[in-house]
Amino acid sequence: MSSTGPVKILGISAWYHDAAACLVRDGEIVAACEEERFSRRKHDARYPRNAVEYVLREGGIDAGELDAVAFYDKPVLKFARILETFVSVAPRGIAAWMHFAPGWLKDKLWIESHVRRELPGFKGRLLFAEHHESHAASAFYPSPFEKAAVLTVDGVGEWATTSIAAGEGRDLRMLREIRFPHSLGLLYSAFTYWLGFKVNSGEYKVMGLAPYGAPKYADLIREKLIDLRDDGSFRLNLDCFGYLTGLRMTNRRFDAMFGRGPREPESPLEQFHMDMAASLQKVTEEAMIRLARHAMEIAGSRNLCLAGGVALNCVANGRILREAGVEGLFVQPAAGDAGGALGAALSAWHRYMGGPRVADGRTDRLRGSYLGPSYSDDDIAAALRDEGVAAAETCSEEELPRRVADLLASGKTIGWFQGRAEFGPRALGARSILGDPRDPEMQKRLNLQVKYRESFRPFAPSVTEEAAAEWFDLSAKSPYMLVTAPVHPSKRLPPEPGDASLAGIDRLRTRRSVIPAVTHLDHSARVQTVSYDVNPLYWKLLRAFEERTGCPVLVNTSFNVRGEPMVLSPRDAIRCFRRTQLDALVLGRRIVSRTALPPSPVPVEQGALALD
Amino acid sequence: MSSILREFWMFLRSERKWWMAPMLLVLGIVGAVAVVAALHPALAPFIYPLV
Repeated sequence: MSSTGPVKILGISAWYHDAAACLVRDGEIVAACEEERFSRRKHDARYPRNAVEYVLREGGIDAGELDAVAFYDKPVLKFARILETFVSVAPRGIAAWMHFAPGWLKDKLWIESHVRRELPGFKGRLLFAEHHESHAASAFYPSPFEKAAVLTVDGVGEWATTSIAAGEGRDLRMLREIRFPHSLGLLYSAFTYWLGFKVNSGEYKVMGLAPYGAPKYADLIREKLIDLRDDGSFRLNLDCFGYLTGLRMTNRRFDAMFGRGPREPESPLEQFHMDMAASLQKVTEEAMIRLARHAMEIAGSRNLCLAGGVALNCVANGRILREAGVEGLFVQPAAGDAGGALGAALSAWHRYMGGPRVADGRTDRLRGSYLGPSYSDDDIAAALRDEGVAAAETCSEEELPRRVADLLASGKTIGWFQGRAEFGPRALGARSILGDPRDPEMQKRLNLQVKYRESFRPFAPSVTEEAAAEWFDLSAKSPYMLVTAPVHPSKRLPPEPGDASLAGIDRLRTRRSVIPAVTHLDHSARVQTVSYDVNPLYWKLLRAFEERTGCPVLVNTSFNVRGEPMVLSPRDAIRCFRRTQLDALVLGRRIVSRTALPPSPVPVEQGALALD
Repeated sequence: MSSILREFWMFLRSERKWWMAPMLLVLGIVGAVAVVAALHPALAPFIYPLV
């Protein structure tokens, strides 16, 4: 450990899903970023070489100045769990074993030598936190709460799939856990697979599909698949799942229960699939609410921090906020495995090194999750030049929100690229695609002409913090877009004649509210509340749009196309702009209109895009 | 290498899962043979019949 100066800890998550790196200096989060943003490979799990380089550069240090590197799980325990599982089901499971063993023997067991080889000059300690400890630390330590219950729910870590901890000051005590193979995350992933979406990626599509269906099968799921108890603990009926013995999430008994096999990816969605999504979502919400109540009860606090992949289920989070008796809720924005890098580093600082923690009860320490790289005016100018885009209008900082608000109010769709990139899967006004939520065609247009994705998926609104209560039934701030709330009744529209006769995806054509592009079928919206203190430029844009239209709400979706990670650099943004039918691109203070763009060398066809 | 062996040893001792030791030993030997074969391709034809 370096003898003088602040303590610098590098957190790393890698080799499973969403590799990421984070730098913490004396407990302050300096930078954090997912590797996928640099490598342009979605959910890139490889060692995060580019992300590590970036966070060290942002901190102005080299690897030799690091005091410690913290890895987000314990590979030996995880390997032992896989081995033990294999033995318990042998000789079945040999295919799964043959699939997993090479990766373990080649990479995953040799973290220490790999990290030291990648970080020449690093002489400090390499620390390992348990997977759910990393998730819990990532949720509690940056939260505004001095004392809180911490609930983490995901697929699986070492053994734990769900854990409850109590956080107070710099202490984090693990209180309870549910162990593999009983896992709410794996249950959700099993249905994701069965409904024809990609596991570890398509779960949010299942959530988006749920409002189109009725929870007709919820009782069957509770009866046959999951024994859910009052305290939120549960056991799965393992006879119906394939993940213990093979490479499929579900098996024939699962198919027999619902009278059909898995849906082929990209095949038409039927009402049955929507009902299944609704049923699963209902059961998941019930489990999460019970777990949240129990966590707060045994931790002795009405503040709740959430992390783990299932904490990205914003519909469940919204219900927890409304129904679980929560006083304060903090959902860590990079709640999946990427956030493990943050949690491991913070756990090393507070738990291992005893570093102090300050919580003021109001402000979290993630600064809006704008923890990624930013690019200067010169970088933007160079990228425009290199990409052959000459005609860019440049505005003053004061003028920019007004000019962009004019474009949005006239129905234009905008690629918005500003400041430091977001850490976590949600675009929060740094790498966003923006549009007018009042336009009834906006959802369809953005889905099919810009994002090239399924038309059933809803978009999320950004709203100024001050106006949030007028537009949404929201009792707390939602800066990270991880809570859904109903659109305020005063903004809803009565059904039109003929609406009742629509079924399935056709129901998307109903108007529902005065901001139809961000209102889901059940009148819910995945809200981001924007404060002036955290992102003044984006806040000013919302205000400027309100001055023109009376509406302080914008459609905000991630700046990418289907199958691609969110853009990171100006060059990524220009290339993405070329592939879409966005009307304008705003890079810092420069505005590029589509008409100024040279013809795209690569015409986009929907089928040519990778599945997400 | 030594740190991973130490960690496995600590794991077996703290969890009292001694029954896993022979499996870990076999996996370790197979892994070592694979590494040797990768590092010294000339030895591969002799190692191949062993594994």
